[in-house]
Amino acid sequence: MTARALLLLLPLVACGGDDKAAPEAGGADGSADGAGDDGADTGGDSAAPAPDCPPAPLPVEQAYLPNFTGAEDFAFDPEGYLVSIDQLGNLVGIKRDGSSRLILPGASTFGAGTRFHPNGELLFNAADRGELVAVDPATGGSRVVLGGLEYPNGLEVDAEGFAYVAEQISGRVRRVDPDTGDFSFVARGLYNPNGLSFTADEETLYIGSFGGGTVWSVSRTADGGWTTPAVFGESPESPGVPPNLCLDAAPGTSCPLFGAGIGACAVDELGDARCLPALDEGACGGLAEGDACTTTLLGQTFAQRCTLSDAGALFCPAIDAALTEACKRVDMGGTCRVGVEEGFCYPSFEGVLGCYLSSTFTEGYTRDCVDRAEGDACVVYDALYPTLGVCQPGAEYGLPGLACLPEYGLGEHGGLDGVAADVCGNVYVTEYVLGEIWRFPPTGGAAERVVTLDSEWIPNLHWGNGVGGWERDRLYVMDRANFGVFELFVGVEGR
Amino acid sequence: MGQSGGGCGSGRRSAARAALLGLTVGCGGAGEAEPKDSAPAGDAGATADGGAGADSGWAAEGDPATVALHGACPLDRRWGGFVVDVGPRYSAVTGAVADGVVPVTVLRPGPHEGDCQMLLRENPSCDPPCAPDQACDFDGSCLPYPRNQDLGPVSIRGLSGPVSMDPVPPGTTYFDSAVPHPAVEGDALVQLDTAGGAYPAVRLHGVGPEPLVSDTLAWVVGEGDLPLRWAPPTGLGRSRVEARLMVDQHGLSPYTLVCSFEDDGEAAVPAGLLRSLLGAGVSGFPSGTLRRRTDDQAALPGGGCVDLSVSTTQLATVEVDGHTPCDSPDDCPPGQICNIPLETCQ
Repeated sequence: MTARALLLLLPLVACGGDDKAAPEAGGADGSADGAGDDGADTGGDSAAPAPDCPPAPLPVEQAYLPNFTGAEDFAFDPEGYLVSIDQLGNLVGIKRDGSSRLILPGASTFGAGTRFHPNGELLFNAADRGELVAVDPATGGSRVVLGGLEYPNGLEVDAEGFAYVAEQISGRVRRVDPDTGDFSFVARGLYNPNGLSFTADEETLYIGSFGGGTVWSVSRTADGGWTTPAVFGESPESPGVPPNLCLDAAPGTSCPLFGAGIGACAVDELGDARCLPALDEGACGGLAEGDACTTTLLGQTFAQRCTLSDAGALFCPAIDAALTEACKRVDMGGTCRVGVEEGFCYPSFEGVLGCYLSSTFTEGYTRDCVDRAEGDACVVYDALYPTLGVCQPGAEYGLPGLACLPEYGLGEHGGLDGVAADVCGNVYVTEYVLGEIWRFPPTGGAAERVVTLDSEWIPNLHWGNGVGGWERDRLYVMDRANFGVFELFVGVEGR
Repeated sequence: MGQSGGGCGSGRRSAARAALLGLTVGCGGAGEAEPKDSAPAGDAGATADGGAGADSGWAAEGDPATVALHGACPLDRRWGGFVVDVGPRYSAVTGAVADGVVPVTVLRPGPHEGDCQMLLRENPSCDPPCAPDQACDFDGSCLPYPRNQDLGPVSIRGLSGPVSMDPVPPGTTYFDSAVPHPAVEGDALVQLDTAGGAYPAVRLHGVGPEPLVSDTLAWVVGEGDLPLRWAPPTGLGRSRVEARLMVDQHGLSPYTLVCSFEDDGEAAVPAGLLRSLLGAGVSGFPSGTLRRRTDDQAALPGGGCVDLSVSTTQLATVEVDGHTPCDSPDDCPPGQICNIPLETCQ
């Protein structure tokens, strides 16, 4: 485990029991190998055969099936259809032989997590509308189970029929009753939670971080709650999950909004210490739009003009007035000029157009580390996207001396999307833009490469259901780039 | 730019959004939902043979060359609508009309140039989270969740087969997933009638789009304009052509670039806006569509709006050229550094 991973453990929040009956621990046998008893898949009341472990040697063989939808996620139905939301926003089923079925036109312009409920309904996340939706595949009848979700992507369903939704923006995983929409929290304070998968016994839920390259595990407790998320593993070269600097900070302290500039520490109504966006509205109290105002951020003072935020509130932007002045009559992306230097207009972290000057890049990243030591906390004085970081050797980044580098990842490594556990307890993840499939052993820790797929966009992966040629011991991976499906001969069944 | 500002919305943000929407739709034109002479409002009972309009054949009455088309609804008033779309593999007919707007569906206008407009999907956040029967608004408050409404049976004339839809429970949505493909012929007059239910009866029109044939469906987004070509219509030419380019930012607020062109066979997406789109980040999956469409709208009591889109759609592949995403210097070619906030080599 890396140092970052250790830090990660601090901010995570365990969530207690909810208002519904505690799920029974059906299938949990306490087996040391984490394989469980395999009962969840068969649903039978007799003992299931022991899983055929271990899986096939690596790298596994693969085949390619063209002409599917390139969807973010998918599920297999009892008739042999691969069900997913296509690029036109329609929920469709497509068989291996190419025959198709239109289930629900106009399902979502950005469908994400897709799972079948034990009662036969299909659940999916409509990320464009922040909704969890249930569909009767027979009739196409649909209903919104729950709205107000903050970028719902990953979805899992347990044998009892509860849905588990990962909200990437808010860092939460909710457990939702699809009948009522009632919910409780399984985990909070996570960094970009995305893919979800239960173990075979459904006692443990794995949660992948998109950007952090981390897989967490949470387990059911005897009182119906959940354990504190623990790091199960990290994908190779992942940036790790950044620490939550608000845990021990006073409310109002500046903190990094990962990839989105600077916010302020606050305790939300659930009691979590979080870094939340914070515009200086107080500096414009009693003033009108365009009136002069003054605000401070990270020790810098900015003389600005009161500006209307997207939410309709007046605030004083924390950006050099010369930069906003240069973009006053320029659209985003347009050319601007400050002095003799030419730049382009780009929205600051507060949504105000400012002139980005590439000459400021080096100074912004090195200035605060000149008198500091490696490992010290520091400020990135980026004119548009200031943030907090740690002083590190800058040579690696083409920067002289020590540079202040933020601790977050949104790039290629660590972009874990789909998560899927097999009956042996191994956990498979997709690394979205790299085409990598990684496999963690049942005990977690270091992952090994299952295969590198020839695609830039591989979101989710699932085992076949044994119908229509979708084999139970093969993993299927959606290829968004080419609208096909990879078939991986992993040699072991899913949960 | 068509009609803008003014009467489309209220307040500053609404005016801004309305200004945006004038690009493609205009906000005026149609009046209130018009009572339909053969289907009194409130008669929501569907008949066994298909409900409204199933009595006198399926050809729409009127002249497709002159029928009034009022454009699509502005997003901040769009309580719902109906879509007839001819896709590459199948056709789809769908619709739903609620009693309000789900806030997250109202996209914020960004920069525009010519026929093109950037739209930003914002993600409202509510603390504590809203209840299941509520929607989160941009100011952090929870609103009653807009509920889809029963408009009574809905019929559509002028398609390749009879379409008559009753609202499907529990979500009160309308669709026909078995309409023959292609659902509509070029220049056919399309007429949608709601029988009346929660709202008075509404009649909307469309004109069938000719097949959209383009030899520029492999979009390479680089430094210059993105040229688009397609075969112009040979008939009435009532349609416009919409190009839509989106880069999923995987959780961040994504921009979509939407252009509405004259249907004259060629156009270009301006380089400046493409640069803006890429500047917003390219960490996600890029996708594009080219759609030939007509749009009509009608007002609903209470300030809402319902529309009908009749379209044919082609999918484009999108490749981003001249932009190197990065999160470390190793990702950048020699001589370039990684701009970490923008995740791009420069």
